[in-house]
Amino acid sequence: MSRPRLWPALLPGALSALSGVGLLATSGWLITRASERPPVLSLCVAIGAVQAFSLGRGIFRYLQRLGVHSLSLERLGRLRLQLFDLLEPRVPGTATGSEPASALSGFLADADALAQGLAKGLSTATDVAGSIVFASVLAALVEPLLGLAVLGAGAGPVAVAWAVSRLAARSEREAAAGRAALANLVTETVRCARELVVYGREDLVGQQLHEVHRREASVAVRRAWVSGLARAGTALAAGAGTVGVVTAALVARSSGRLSGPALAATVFGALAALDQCSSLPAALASREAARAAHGRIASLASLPAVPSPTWGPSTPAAAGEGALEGAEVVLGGGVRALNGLSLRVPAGGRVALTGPSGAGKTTAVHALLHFVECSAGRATLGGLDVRGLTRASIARLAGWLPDETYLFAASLGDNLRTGCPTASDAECVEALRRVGLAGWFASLPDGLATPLGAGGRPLSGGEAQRIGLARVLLSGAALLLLDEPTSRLDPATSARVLPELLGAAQGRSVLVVSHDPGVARLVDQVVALPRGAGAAAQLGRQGPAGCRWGSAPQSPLGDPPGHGGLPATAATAQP
Amino acid sequence: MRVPDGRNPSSGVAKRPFDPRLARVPVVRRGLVASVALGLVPVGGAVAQAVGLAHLIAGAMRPASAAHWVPWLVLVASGFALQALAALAGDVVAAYTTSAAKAGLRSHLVAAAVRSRSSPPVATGGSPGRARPHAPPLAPGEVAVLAGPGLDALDVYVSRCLPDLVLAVAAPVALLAAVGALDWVSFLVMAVTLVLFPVFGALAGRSSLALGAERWRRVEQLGAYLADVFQGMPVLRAFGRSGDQRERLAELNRSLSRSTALALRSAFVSALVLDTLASLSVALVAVPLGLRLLTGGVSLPAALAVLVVAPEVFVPVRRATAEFHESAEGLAAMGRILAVAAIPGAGTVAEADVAARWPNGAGAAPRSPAAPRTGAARRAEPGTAPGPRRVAPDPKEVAVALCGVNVSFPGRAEPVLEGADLVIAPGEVVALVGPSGAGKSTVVSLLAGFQVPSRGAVTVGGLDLAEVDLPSWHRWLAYLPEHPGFLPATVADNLRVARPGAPEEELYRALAEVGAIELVERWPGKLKARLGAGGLRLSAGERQRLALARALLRPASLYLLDEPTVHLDEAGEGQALAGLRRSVQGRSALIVSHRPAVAQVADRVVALRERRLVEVSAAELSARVRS
Repeated sequence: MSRPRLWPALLPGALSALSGVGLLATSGWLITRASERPPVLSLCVAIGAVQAFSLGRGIFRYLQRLGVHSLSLERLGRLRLQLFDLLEPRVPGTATGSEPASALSGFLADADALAQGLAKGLSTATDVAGSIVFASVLAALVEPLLGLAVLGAGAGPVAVAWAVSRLAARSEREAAAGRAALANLVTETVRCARELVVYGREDLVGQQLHEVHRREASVAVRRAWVSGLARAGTALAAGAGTVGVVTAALVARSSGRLSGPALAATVFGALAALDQCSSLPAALASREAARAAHGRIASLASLPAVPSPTWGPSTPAAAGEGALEGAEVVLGGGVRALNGLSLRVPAGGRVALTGPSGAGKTTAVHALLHFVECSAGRATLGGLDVRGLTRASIARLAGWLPDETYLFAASLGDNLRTGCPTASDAECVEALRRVGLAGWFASLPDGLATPLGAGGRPLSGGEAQRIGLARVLLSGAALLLLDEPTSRLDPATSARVLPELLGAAQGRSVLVVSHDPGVARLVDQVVALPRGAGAAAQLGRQGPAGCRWGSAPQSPLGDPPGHGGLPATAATAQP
Repeated sequence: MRVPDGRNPSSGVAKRPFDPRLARVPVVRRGLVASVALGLVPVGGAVAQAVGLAHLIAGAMRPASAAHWVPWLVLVASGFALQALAALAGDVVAAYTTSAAKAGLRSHLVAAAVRSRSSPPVATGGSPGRARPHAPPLAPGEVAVLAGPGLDALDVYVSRCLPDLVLAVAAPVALLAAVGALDWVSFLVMAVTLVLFPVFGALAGRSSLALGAERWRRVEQLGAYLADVFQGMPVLRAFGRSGDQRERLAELNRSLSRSTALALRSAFVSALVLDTLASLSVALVAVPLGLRLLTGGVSLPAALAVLVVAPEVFVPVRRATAEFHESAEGLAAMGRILAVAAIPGAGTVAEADVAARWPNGAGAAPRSPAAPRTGAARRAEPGTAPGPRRVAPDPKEVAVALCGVNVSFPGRAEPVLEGADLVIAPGEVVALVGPSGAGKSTVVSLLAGFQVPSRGAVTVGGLDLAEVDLPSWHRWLAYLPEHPGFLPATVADNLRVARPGAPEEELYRALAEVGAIELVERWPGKLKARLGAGGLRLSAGERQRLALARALLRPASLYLLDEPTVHLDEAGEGQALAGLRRSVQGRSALIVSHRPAVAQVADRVVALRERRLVEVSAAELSARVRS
């Protein structure tokens, strides 16, 4: 996209500033000149100018608004594309880790803030700078020194507003911390409402809220002082400037270098310019917000990206197989998430990956999907290093079901076809049946056209995860990577859904990450990651032998796809 | 941050920029009065500036000594100083009032949320013993959004939009009065334009709204689409479909800039009309003034003063119209908060009520008999018989029972429980098992008094729980809910919720019972470690252990434990169950679980099957475990 031109935004702004200054200056000249009772004809030009400026101001302002807004919209469009390109090779994995999906749309709000800051900054800057320049040019035409006085008077409020806006950044950060504490308190309070009532301790809530309110009020009052000081300081500086300009003009007048009407025009012009300065504090505040947003987007760019090649081998030798070979992964900030982990899911095999939080289970899945890069060792799918595979071939080799499946605001059919755009209706229904949603689907009056996602049909967590699995099954991936597929469900539902998900995956290789101890009964093999990356290194030295093998270990090649590996036949893996 | 529903400027709420309910909240009303009063001060400042400047310039028409300037210069400067002071005071006063208003509303909101989670549905007068199904309690996250960003949207509305709305009427009237005192003819001209202002504004606004509404809808749809694509980006990447979406995004950007340019053109028409009218009125005032000065129909200082004041008249109106969209957001947030908080009379008693229910003053106000806790709040609800309540007997001595209990929820065709019977004898430990969603937690809620049966009764020693003073019943209970919570305080404080003033040994004993000693030893500060934002982040298993330790810390007569070992691994589960058994020795307990291991510590196992509670024999249970 070519760089947008600035003049459609700047020129009308400058003209509108000129009209504003001109309107008051000519009006002042007209009235003072009229009081000298000259012939009416000598006022005609001034009268015409007053009317022209008054009409022009509104029209130029309209054109300025249009220009600035289309400029900022264009910028917004480019920002969104940039964001997409920044995020795509970083999510999930490096950019967000386990953050919820809504965090990603937070970046969109940042782009909005940037574009808005641009619009507001641009129009305020033209208004303020333009009218100060015009007023001082006007004054300089009358008396050169007065021009300098007007310029100096205009610089005052700008400097004050700028200085105070630096203070504001700190109080904004405090306010953000306060908001986080508040959200936590309210969520937890409501969550333990019943315990507090049973124990007769509702007074604790009052105490906690009181503390939050006290802190919130002190932050709010401090912010108010800062914003109030910005406004008051700007007004005082404008007042000082006005008094200075008037005094300078009066001195020039008393020394006879200035006529009465010229003095009025100069003073009124300066007044119009200084009046614009009152919009400075608000514009500078939005500039701070834009700066913070820019910082967040820029920090995104500093995270490691994991790009995939646009072409690569398309027919892997051993589809269904997935392995990590001494994989080491270092995440952003130098955090070692995996330290030499080796594990192998044979074709048709079922492996569970367990371990405490932070042990690197999700990172292992991300490494297999090439969401993160191995700094040492390698991740393979179907015997091929994932680094050489295109995203499309990775999608054919490995399907991913995260803890919280994201369903798009689209129809059920379109959501299912995310994995396979060419799937027929019958195939979609068959996939739903396999994940145990046949009954649910039959109850839908609109069938595959049922809208899902935001604003669509509400789903239970279990239903959403099953639809997610149906989508993965449709994609035809030979290896399913289920990353804590039921951890967001309540324990009892989870205990029911997990075996059903694994049952539906029948015929494909599965790597399932789970906290649920019951998962051992559903798989052929359990790999337990110990706490912390350092201990994982020990595991790595022992190689696959470090894994706890089940009582019915698989042969290295595993059973062919399509064997009857139902949960009931899978052996438990107890020490 | 914005509240999701508040995003849409064309939402129905925006039609009226003022909600009278808000003005009835005393603190808001006082703040509004103060803000408006402070907003009128700059009007005085503007008039002082105008008069001062007018006299300085008029005086300069004839040569005069500098001594004549000084008083007028002082007047101009004091005009600016007044504006500066009013700006500072206005911001600070607004901060105090909105903080107070938010504190009050938030207390109400949280109190209402706590109530909705812990109070049984209100029995309707007509059919005794029949409970009216009530709205499902708000999820903690929803309440947090309402109490945080929701109230912040209200913040802007109360501190800026609302005063500006009032000032849009009051300030022009005051300025016009000043113009009238200076020059009658100009007064008439400006009064007419000022009357035309809202008329033109409304006309232009309506036409541009009609023109732009459809296009804006498209712009908003695009916003929703973008959010959808960004949130689903990991999915797109996993399926190798990001490329398609990027192309679509670029295409949409192109079509968007075309359609938005059109939308903007009409959307800004109303601004064009108002801006032009405002600057035209300056010309309409200035030109006649000039012509009348030629004939001496007006004095020069008055004419100049009017000219300075003239542009100021329209500023407050323009500001109020510009803030219209923000007010829509604030109003939408307020509508939801007032609906949830159900503030009685929206302020007629609001403040006194806040003070009584939530001791804000130092938080330590003792629970006075005049402002008792939930029991009173519950009884105060309409439709409940206020008759005297019985004191609950100790379940260590009497049996607790469900007798033919039915429970149904709105939106569920089938009842959760139907004719369910259960007896917990004194000192008996009963395990309740059953598939998820069968209603196990409902049984716990019934026994804790948080749920009222629609038929049948919960009895304590033969006494209907519905007739019992709930606080007196709660005195005997220890309770572990399905999703326990922790206040942002120290670990010790959180444990002592169940037993205020418990000595540290007791805390450690309870922690030892659930195998959480090493856990606590690992934390910096041990029992003094802080939980919550900025403090320790607990895993699900750690939370569960702490919550169980809290319940077991309480020397209760009846333990109601909902899924006590969930999130624990098998070793942890065994340890916790053994400790649990020791702690409840000699006391009654109901332990709900979907895990078979729990049955080993129970005297008796009851299963929830087809909406009834049935005894499960040991043989049947072990057969189930094996399968």
